[in-house]
Amino acid sequence: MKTNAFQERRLLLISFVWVWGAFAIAYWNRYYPGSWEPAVRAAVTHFAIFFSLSFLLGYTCRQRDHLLLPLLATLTGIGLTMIYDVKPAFLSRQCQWLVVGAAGLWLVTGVRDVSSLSRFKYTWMFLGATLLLATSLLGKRLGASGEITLALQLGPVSFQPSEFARLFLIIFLAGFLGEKSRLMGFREPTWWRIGRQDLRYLGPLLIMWGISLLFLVQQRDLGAALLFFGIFIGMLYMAETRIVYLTIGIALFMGGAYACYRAFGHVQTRIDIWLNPWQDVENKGYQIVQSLFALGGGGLLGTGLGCGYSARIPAVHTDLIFSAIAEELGLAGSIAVLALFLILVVRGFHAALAARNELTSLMAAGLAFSLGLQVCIIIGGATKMIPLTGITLPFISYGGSSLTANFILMGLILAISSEGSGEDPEKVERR
Amino acid sequence: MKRNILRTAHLFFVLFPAIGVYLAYWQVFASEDLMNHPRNRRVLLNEKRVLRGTIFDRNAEPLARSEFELSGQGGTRRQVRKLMAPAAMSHVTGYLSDRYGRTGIESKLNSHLSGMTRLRSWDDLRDFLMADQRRGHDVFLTIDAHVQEAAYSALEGRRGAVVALVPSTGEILALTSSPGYDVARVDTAWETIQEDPEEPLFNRATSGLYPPGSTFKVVTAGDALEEGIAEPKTSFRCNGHVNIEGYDVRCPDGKAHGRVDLTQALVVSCNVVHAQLAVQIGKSRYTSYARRWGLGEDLFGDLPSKASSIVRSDSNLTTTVLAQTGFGQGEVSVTPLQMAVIAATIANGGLRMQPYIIDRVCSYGGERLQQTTPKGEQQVISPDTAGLLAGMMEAVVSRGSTRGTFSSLSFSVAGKTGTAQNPHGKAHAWFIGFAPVESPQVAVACVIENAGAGSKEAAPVVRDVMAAALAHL
Repeated sequence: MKTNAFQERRLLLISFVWVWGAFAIAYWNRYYPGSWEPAVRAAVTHFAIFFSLSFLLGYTCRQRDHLLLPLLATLTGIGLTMIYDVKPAFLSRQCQWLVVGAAGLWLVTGVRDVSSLSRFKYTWMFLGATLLLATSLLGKRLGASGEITLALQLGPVSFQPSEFARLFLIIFLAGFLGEKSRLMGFREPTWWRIGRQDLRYLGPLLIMWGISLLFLVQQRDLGAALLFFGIFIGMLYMAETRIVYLTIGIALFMGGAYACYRAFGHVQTRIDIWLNPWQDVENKGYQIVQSLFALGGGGLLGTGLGCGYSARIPAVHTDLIFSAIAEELGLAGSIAVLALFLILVVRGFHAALAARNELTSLMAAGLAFSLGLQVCIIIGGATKMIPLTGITLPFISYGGSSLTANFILMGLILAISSEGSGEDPEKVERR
Repeated sequence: MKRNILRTAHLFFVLFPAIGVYLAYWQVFASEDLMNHPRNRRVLLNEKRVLRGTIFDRNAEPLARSEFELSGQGGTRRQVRKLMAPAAMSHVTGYLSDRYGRTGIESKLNSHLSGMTRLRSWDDLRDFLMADQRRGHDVFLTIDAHVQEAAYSALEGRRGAVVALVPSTGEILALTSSPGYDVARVDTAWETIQEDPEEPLFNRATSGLYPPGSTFKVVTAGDALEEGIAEPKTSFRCNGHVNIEGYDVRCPDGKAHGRVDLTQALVVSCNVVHAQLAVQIGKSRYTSYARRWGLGEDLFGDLPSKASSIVRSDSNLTTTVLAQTGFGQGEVSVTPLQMAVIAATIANGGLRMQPYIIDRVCSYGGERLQQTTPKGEQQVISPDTAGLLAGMMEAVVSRGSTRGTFSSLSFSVAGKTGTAQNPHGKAHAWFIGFAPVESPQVAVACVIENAGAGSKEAAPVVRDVMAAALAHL
């Protein structure tokens, strides 16, 4: 299958040329003179990482979907260019994280049989819950009144556990639901009746769910809470469990959302800002209004790389980097980035459909779903489609945890895509 | 299981396009509203990135031009406006301030100067594609910096205004309002400038309304000639005063001029003769002539200006007021620009030209984007009448009180003095005129508030302006 690897490298080359060009234009257009060295270093790092990944993956997952890596390289490249553009000081840090993420991706693809991960599903569940608990107890205080705790400090690095907890959650759910889903479908006396087995089955699920959401709401990480909720519902649906579970899930979501809205002032504020950001443009509505200004400033073709004014938006390099892209590349560029994400998500689902067993199938679907949902939540927030919440745009936003976690996510999808399309390992062993 | 996975995948084919629709809405359909939102600083910031265009005078001397300067420790670039003559040009270029807005040409042609116009030149397109420093468009005015400065310095800071025109085209050579203000100090000394009792921010040349006094007699005389009521040689008798419908029109100090012809009546500035002529022309004819001279309409499109009028908007022209209008008192109020237009019309064979100050707008590469062509507004009086009137005005200068004032010039001058009574103190000094009489190249009007006799105060200013304008002769 040499041709596939060749095609991958050819696509990668196109991506590199694009990224180099983007860096050159961004440097050239900078209104305030800046240094070109970080740009060159970032471009070289980007090239080296993806080019060597293309070779290294030949050892771990030869039969991978060869569209995934070029897509990943392009999105990551856009991310680096935009960070150079809006927060050049963060560029070298992001490059270091890129190295870490790529290493994580490669290590994950080295797992011989992905479905074996599910064997330790309760370990993952425990790890995920612990991470969230630790964040709540030991997290760094952020935000105006220190009520937001998103990050854990580990020596010199601070990281955001919810990014990794999300991965553990998906692996856990895939293992848990994938194993028992067949069992569930069988006896259905009446669709809404819940027996003892059901409770035994639902128990761990509800506990995990409750814990994660409780912590996220307590940490005021509403974006992540929304994402976790979505992953739960989505995976319940995809696993084809009993409809009553899905109903319970959705009912709990509605109830929980309403309770949060009534109980927490900050949730109400978010909703009010979303409904009418123009009432308080200078304070509460500032971020979303600035995001919309950036979108409007972009127009059809954008101001050009390096010519936007998005650097002024709060959290532009993390939550609202898409607004900066939309301003500088215009509607053409923002739709293009959206399309790249859609292709990536669809290829993830493709891997899920092609996967050999239910466990990996559900895992890939869960990972792809999580990726797609995250993109929708943050871009939907930046365009005022839904309330704006603080989560990252995968591969593009600045942030080590986000980048590493999403690279690992891609590593899992790559591994599953390789298993699904390749020869049966049993046959290989027999030969 | 796979069936539901496939369905979930399809969900994203709905969600992503929905986001795309939102993006299209904000980025294209709502884009203009977002850009114009008062809290959005993008338009302002865009302007600061484009190097603002230069304002040139007719000889391509830069009156206001921008440069980038590095300032502060961060080495950030900032645009600085360099001004050639901040005070003399203050009412032409106007000021430019983030806090107090902009006036003058800086305001009128802001879209061109800032490069924010939709009308894009090839230079703009090239810069856009090559990502070069974008520049605003350059503006070329009809102003002659030498004439403008001569006018400003001749006014010596007194409250007043000078307007100089090219009679055959309507080009404005000088548009001076005094006192001016230092355009560069608007941001730092706003309070001082704004609260100055001399009102330096007020453009007297285009918006100051004054009684024209005796300078308006050329209008009355011109109308009378055109109507065939009188000729330059027609003889009149002045007893020093005349009773018109119970109102006693008097010549200054009640002095009787005796038997005078029309030319002499203008030379000695006889109120009695001109009051009688106005009454003889009649209310409706006189009003219609006034309209033809440009009174009652906004003459000028390039800068904010006021319309002159012969009667207050809330009253009707009575015969007694008409008689006073005949010698420039009554209710008539005019701008210096209007009086310059009257002088220029006589100099131009009775054809009134539209005055203009913006000659052309060019991209910095020289591509012409906008060009004003001279526009004849109205044949006010016939060329013959205009010739006769010009001859009478030449007699005013050669035989009248300003004889000595203009004797130093190498060319002949036609003109008329005015000393306009007003309720605010001493009379306003006026002089209007043009030169050279044979082939007029410049028409000038000057008013100096509460300065006294026009022949003593205003005529020397006009002389200096004419000398500067015709220095090449």
